[in-house]
Formats: sequence, structure tokens, C-alpha cells
Amino acid sequence: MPLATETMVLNMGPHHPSTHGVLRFILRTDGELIHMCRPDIGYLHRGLEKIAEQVPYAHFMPYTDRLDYLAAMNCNLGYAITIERAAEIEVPPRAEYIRVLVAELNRIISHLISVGTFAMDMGAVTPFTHTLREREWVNDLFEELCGARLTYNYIRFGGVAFDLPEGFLDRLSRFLDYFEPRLEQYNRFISKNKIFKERLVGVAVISPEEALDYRLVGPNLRASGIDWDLRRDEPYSVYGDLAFDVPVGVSEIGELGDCYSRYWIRILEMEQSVRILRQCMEKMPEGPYWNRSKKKLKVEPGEFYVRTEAPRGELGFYLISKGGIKPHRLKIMTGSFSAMSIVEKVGSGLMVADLVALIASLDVVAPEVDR
Amino acid sequence: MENLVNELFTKFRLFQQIGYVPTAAVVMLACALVVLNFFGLMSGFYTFLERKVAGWTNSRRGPNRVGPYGLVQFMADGVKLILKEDIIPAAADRNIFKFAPYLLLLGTALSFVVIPFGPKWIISDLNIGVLYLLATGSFTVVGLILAGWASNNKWALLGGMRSAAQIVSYEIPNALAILVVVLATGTMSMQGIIRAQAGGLHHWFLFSSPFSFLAFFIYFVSAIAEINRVPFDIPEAESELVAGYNIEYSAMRFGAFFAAEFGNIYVISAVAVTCFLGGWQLPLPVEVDELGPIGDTLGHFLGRSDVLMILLLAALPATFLAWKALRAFVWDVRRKRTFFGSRFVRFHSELLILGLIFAGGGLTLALHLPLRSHLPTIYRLIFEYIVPFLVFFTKAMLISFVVLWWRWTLPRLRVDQLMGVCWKYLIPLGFFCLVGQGFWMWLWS
Repeated sequence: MPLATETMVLNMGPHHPSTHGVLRFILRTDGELIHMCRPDIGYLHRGLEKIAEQVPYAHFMPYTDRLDYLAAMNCNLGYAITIERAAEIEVPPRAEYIRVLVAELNRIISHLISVGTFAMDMGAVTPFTHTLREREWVNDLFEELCGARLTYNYIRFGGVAFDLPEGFLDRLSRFLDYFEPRLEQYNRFISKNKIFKERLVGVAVISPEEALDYRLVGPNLRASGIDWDLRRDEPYSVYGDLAFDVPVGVSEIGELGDCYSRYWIRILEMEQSVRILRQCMEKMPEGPYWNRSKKKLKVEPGEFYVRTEAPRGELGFYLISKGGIKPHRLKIMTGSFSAMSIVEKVGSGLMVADLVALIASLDVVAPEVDR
Repeated sequence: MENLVNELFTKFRLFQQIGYVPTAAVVMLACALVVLNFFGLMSGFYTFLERKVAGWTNSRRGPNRVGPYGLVQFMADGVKLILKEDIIPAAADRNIFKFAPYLLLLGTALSFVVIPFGPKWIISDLNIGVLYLLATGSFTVVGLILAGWASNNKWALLGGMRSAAQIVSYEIPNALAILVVVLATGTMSMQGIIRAQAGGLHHWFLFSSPFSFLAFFIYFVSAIAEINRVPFDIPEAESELVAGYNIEYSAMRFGAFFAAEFGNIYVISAVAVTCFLGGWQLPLPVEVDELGPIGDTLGHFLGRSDVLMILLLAALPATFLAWKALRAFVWDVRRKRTFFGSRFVRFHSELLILGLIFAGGGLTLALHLPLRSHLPTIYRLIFEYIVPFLVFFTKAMLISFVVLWWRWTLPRLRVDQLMGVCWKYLIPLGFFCLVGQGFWMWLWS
């Protein structure tokens, strides 16, 4: 029977090693035990949606890089598809394959960061440096592709900005050959570690109903056992032509929807991304890479909602156009934002160390929460 | 230390003139100086080693800028810490805040008093040596709680409370594991425990009985928990408590925490070596008293050997170096490399260091010639004092390496799991070992 003592208010953040950015959690704790946990967001609010109303459609593309800087390609892609559907722009097949290729590559490195920081939050520093080592390689590939290592601004309406450089696919395939055995190494090193499992299994369980109620998306939703992936269920780009599995949490280790299943889903997704990448490389068609329009881009009046599967789940762009070169309103729905809402529900009753595990497992990126 | 005082007092007229008590005071001061310097040097060396080990595991290089291989990086860090501003939070309990780090340092420095360097080389061979070590180890917890409390910071307070719970709990299995050894030897003196393990590998307590074998692991795990290392570093868990008890500390007071922490690694390694790995005993069936005569023989041999042979010994490495330099030079000339990109220049520092080592070796060998008649004495002293120390030190370093290795490999436990490990597993196992060791001794008596 726990002895109740005087509670204290603990201010976790905005500067805290485990919030990875400026997030704040107000905790009411009894010693180590959390009675109440309230996320306080908005420290990284940059008014992206307002900026979108001020600039022409194409000028907003670099801002989507900053939406989720760990998955800039996916944000670019989501925005580009939205505008293409609204303005009815055709995309050449080669560009579609390049887009899927870079998006999946970005998913891998985003999950690498997630897995690495997860291990670091659990106290193991080394996996983080190892995952960053692999990420560095992909960054080099991206740099070769578009000159940037973090905020790519690569995808354009109707295609991509540059064609694949000479020998890019060979170098990519060398990376994949190197990377696949690494995943097994991570599993030996950290996923199968007794202490690591002890810390995560059965901690902060989110039931499938709760996950739906709180609009969890992406890996967090699938970890709770709900089989939903936009790439398969609402295929966009060329995902319909590619064969891949959607990993869903089945509680092989621990409970369904605990921190460990959220971690494990990401490892499995990386395997699937590698599979998609190999298919993209195989099927990569020749042809133009950018259906470039000379005219100034205008969108007919109307409302459009397009959602894509980013590494942190469903990324939705809701566009209201009243004609002209700028949107009337652009609302962005992100995975991290909805993940933050469940922290209050699941967080109370945990220990401080478990809360760190919960935040890490939801893979929240601060700029994506606040936009 | 007592022997030294007596010896000085009886042998030298100077000390007889100044009296017994001043003599003792002088010797004490000298010993304190030795201990503190050794402590400081060891913790400095550990910061270097830790960062190198971190580099190896993290697939990066670690310190390599200051000094050869980054060896004197810790001095640069020390200077930096001393020069930084020492900030004391306005709301902190000033006096306790200032005092707490020294309590930690005191506990660690006091532990060094009973740590042996060799069979005849120990500051004080207390007859309650091991008990004394457990007592000095407890200073740590007081220091940590005071630091956590006086900082007037909630994270620091949580860190302090965690450390209190952790260290007090883990002292029990720690003591139980050491009691197994005390039971087997019947003495608490550090030197006594080491002497009891004479006669080769199978006499070390790690291998001598299944129960002391188990006790070694109980000791090792609980000792790591006592000095707050991963996987038991919850008092300073970075990702949870930001920095734990030392969150408000800056400058050298912050450094003091780390000096104590790294010094403690040597202490626990030394105790593990003393109690379970035979201390300064060689892993051969050679009595340590036989080492002196071996040195004697070697000295006689070298004293009789020819000048030519000594020169030959020095010539071999010199030839090797010259060959290496020549190869590099030829490589440069062939590729028309100037200063930049020159192999000769690039390997110059390496060659220089090797050259210095060999020059030192050669000089040492050359020194043999005039000292020919004293060689047996010199080698006897080396074998009596230096060799056992090196043996002890090597073993301690191996243990420390494991401690550092774990630090960069394992995640950390949660606070309740940590207490579970202690109370549910280690303590019952410790009692089991204690009883089992008694049974084992009765069986073989």
C-alpha cells in the first residue's frame, strides 16, 4: 500500500533532456508517482498556418520542411499532393517513384532517430550514436540529391526539383545492404535487452478504444492493434503498385499498446520501408521528373482535404481556396499533436521515469505539435 | 604508516631530535599528500578512460586533442572547471550547499587509506580494513542527500532521495558479499585477506568456492549501484532528473562530485580485486615473498651480462624505427609529396613518441653499466614493490573497464525495479552465500 505524502508540482520542461525540444509537462507528483500530468504546448509555435495564407502556394513549400524537420520529405510530399489534387496537376511516373523513394528513406531516418532517442531516454547512450551514424549516410544521399541535409525543399508541384544524380541508386542499394543487417544488430543490442524490456513492457498501455478516441495515428495507432495505414488503405502516389506489409502490434512481447509495442512497430516499419525502397529502385521508370508549368499557380475555389502517412502518422492538409494564388486557409493536422493529447490520460499514475518512456514512445516532435 | 614512523624514529637521529609525535605528523602529512594525489590522478585518468571507452562503443574517437591521445584532456577540463564561476542559487541553503561536495570527496579520499598498493605498501593496514571501507563509503550518501536538499530544487531533491534509498539499500548486499570473504579468511585486514589467497589462481576467492564465486557478482552489482553507475545511475538519471542531485552545482564543486564518482570506481575495483581476485598475488603458484629473490637473481644476471648485449637490445628498436621512417620518406619522394600529405610528417609524432620510449629504454639499459654492483638490490626493490603494484593495478583496471563498459552499453532501471533487485534478489542471495560459505568451510575442514 503506497503511503501518501504531500504532493508537489514538478515542472518538466520546456528545457528538459527527454522532451527533445521545447515541450512542457506540468506534473503533480507524490514523490516519484505522478498524480496529474498536463502537457503545455505552444513554445514552438511559429504560425505556419498563418504564413501559408500570406505567401503563394509554391512559396510555402520550404515552410513544410520546418513542420517536422525529422521528416521533411514526407511533409513536402503531403503538401505537394494536396495542391496537385486541388489544381489538378499531373505528375510524371518517374517523379512519383522518386517521391516514394525519398519519402520512405526519410521514414527510415525518422524512425532511426526515434529508436535512438528512445534508447537514450532509457539511459543507454550508445544506440543513439549508432542510429545517427546510419542516418548520416542517408543525409549524405539526400545532400547529393538536393543539396540539403535536413530541410530538403525537394518536392515540387508536378514532380521533384532535381532528377536522381548519376549512380544514386547504386549508392542507395549499398546503403540498404549495409542497413538491413544493422537492424538485427539493434535488436541484439537494445530491443532484446532485458533491462530495456523490463522498463517498457506493460508500461503506459493505450487500449485500441482509447487510441481511436484520442485520434492516435500512424505507428502509435498500429501499436494499439488497429490495422490502419493510409499507404495501403487510401493509396496515394504509387503506393498502390508496391507490395508491403503493415506491421500491427500483436503483443508478442508484453501487452498490446504498451511502450514496447510502440517501439517495436518502428523497427518493423523500417524493415518494410527497406522493402518498398528496393521495389522503387527496381521499378524506377525513365522519363521526365518534373511536369513544370510556366503559368502562375492558381487554385479554383473549393475545399480540399488530403492526408498522407508520415513517419509520425497521418499528416493532413485542409485547404480552403477562394481562387487566386494564395490559400484562404490551410489547416495542418499532425500526428504529434494528437499524440500529445493522450499524455494526460495515460500519464497519471505512472512514475516519472515511465512518463519519459511514454513521451519517447509516442515519438513526439515539438515543432510538429505547435506548427 | 606506523612501521614507517617507527623505522624513521629508530634509524635517523634527526627524527629522534624532533620527537615521536612530530615525526608521526610529518609522515601522516606525506601519506595524505600521496593519497590525495593518487586519488586526483586516478579520477582524472578515469575521466579520460571513460571518454575513450565511450568513444569506442559509440563509434567515434573520444578525446584526442590535448596531449598525446588526449591523455591530458582531464587537466584542461580541471582548469576549465576551476576557472568557471561558482554559482550558488539564491534560494539554496548556502553553507550546506558549499559543504556537501567535500563530504563526498572526503569519503572517497578516506577509502584510499586502506587500499593496498603492494605487500609492503599500504598507507595503513587497519585490522578492520574492510569494515572501515564500508563506513567511508557511507559518507557518500550523506553528501548526496545534503547536496540534493540544499540545492532547493525539486529535481535535485528527487535525486537526493533516490540516492538515499539506493545507497542505503545496496550497502546490505555489499556488506554481505564481503562478509563471505571475511568468514573465509577470519580477518578484516586488507593485506590479511590478500595473503589468504596466496598460491595461485584457484586460491582466489572468485574461484575457491561456488559461494564466494556468487558473492563476487553480488559484490560487483551492489558496488556499482553504490557508486551510482549505469545501470543503477538513477540519482543522476539524465533523461529523467536532468542531472539529479548536482543540477545546481557549477564550477569546481560540480567537478568535486565527479572526482569523487570516478575515484570511487577505483575504490570498488580495488576492493573487488582485494577480496576476490587475489589482490597483488600473481596468478601463478609463486609466493609473493619469493619475488624479491627472483629480482635478486635477475639483477645478478644482468650485472654479469655483456655491454654488447645491452647495446644490441637498444639497437633492435632503433633499427625498426629507422626502417619505418625510411619507408615513409620513400613513399613521400615517390609521390612528390611536400609537407602537406607527407607520410613522414604525418607519422612523425608517432615516431617521436616511439623514439622517446625506446630512448628511455636504452637509457635505462645504459644506466645498468655504472650501477652494476647495485643491480640485485634495485631489482629486488622493483620486484618487491613495483611488480605487485602493477599486478594489482592491472586487475583493478580490468574491473574498472567492465564498469565503464556497462556505463555505455546498458539502459538504466526504474527506481522501483532497482529496489526490487536489491531486496528481492541480492540480499537473499547474499545470506545464502554467507551460510553456504560456512557450510563449504565445514565440509572441507
